[in-house]
Amino acid sequence: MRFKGFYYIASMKSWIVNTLLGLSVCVAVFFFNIKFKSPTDPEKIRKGLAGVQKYLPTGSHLVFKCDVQGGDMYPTYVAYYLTPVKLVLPTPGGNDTTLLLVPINSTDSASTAMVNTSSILWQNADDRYRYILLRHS
Amino acid sequence: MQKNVLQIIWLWVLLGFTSMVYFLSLAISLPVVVTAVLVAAFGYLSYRWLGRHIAIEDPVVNKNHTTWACVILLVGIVIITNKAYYLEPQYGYWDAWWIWNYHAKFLGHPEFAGFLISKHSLVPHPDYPLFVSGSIAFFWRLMSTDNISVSYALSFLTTLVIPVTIFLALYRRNIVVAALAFLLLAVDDFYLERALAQYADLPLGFAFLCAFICLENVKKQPLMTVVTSAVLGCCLWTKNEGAMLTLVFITLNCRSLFGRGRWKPFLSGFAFPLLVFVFFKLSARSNDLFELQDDHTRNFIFDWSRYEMVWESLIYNLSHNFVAVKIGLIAFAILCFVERRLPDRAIIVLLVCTTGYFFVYVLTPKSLDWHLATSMDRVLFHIVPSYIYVLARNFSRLHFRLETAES
Repeated sequence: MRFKGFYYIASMKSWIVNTLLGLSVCVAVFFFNIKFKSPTDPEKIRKGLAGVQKYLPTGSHLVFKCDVQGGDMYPTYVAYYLTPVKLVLPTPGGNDTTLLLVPINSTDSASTAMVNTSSILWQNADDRYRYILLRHS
Repeated sequence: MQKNVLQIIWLWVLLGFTSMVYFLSLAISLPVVVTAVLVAAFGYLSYRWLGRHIAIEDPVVNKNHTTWACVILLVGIVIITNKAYYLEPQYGYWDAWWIWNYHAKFLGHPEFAGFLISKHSLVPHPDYPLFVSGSIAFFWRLMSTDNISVSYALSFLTTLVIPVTIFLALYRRNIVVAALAFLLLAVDDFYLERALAQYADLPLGFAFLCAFICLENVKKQPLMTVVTSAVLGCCLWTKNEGAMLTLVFITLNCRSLFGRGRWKPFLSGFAFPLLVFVFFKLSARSNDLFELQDDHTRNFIFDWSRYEMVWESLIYNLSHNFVAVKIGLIAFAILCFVERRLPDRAIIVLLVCTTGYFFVYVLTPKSLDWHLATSMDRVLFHIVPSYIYVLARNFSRLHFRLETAES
């Protein structure tokens, strides 16, 4: 196409406007990926949970316990990453599987007792947390 | 109608069609490649049809004005793109986690879709229509990934096209008013944060805005009724509130939409989205707000304290979060008084929609305090883009009219 000068570029032709919009979406997505290149909190949880899916049948219900200060969003992350597993509240005698997320240096006695009285199906750890899938006997 | 505005609206209708076809393809276990071919065929044919029957060549406008328009557009787009970088949350906010992207996770895997679309679904809000979730899931599946960039791209596109479309639709009438409406949105952090939240509120707001833009052209070009009804179909398919907005819009514009045999083009654009919506509603669990209605909640209609609470919340939102709309409405009322005329039909449609939302809150079976605090600022975004457009269109009659030479 013949270049017709500045006024042509600034003529608001539809292809120019569309190119501008397309370019800005590409630029925004590019910088979005740059901004979140280093693993964020949800990404770290996702990596920590890698591999647990094969122990969880499709559509199963799971109790999730997490004793982390400021971890209010963690159940949300876990439900999202483990789709379609359904997170449920513990009911007496109702659920036999629990996913436990504990700080790596935790001394919480309740969590320790739960690990000691159940069998570990799967576990993983990162620099912050231990992820343990337990089956209660 | 301007070509670039029509192209943006076409893109939105195509996105809506994509999510509808994708939802149907899940129901009949169609491979995603076949869905993609169907979408591409629809995109090509509908674009050609628009080009033949509706598209208008860009009119030649005074070079100085066009240059100014281009500069304003460029500045606005740069501002939005730059601000988006600082305001964007990676995975959106709460509802994106629990509803829109979460639903997309189910839809992106055909074997999981049954857990979402079922009468006994345990997923939060499984009755919410699938424009956003279906579009995201389609692209995820097509690219064999569940990369969050897809959700972000859709929310950024929405953030961008709302002010841009308002500007493009108005700058030839009055570049000052168009620039003001455009830049007010472009620098408004409250708008940008809500739009980048990866929710479905702004996509619904955009589809409703498109309906107003299209309706203006229905008289000149009756076949624009097809496009108008198609974007109304997108409203229906984006959020449950879209059904109310669509109903109000159709009822108050029935003469423009159905008169002089226009009901045929209307149905040709609306029938498919309506059928898909009905099929979805028959397959999904019913809405919690309807499910929890009983005699007790129906008595809320006589509880004046609830009206007071909703009114206070509405005024608070207008005064703190939507100041431009509040000032615009006051200025518009003064303009109507000075010119001794009644407000136009578009404003009446929007006022009726606002009243509709008002009564949704009055009758909500949930805690009213909680419901108002968690949703009113988002919900108002369904109609705020249309308010801005309709008010700006009214003010654009005043001065600075461009000399437009239609080619």
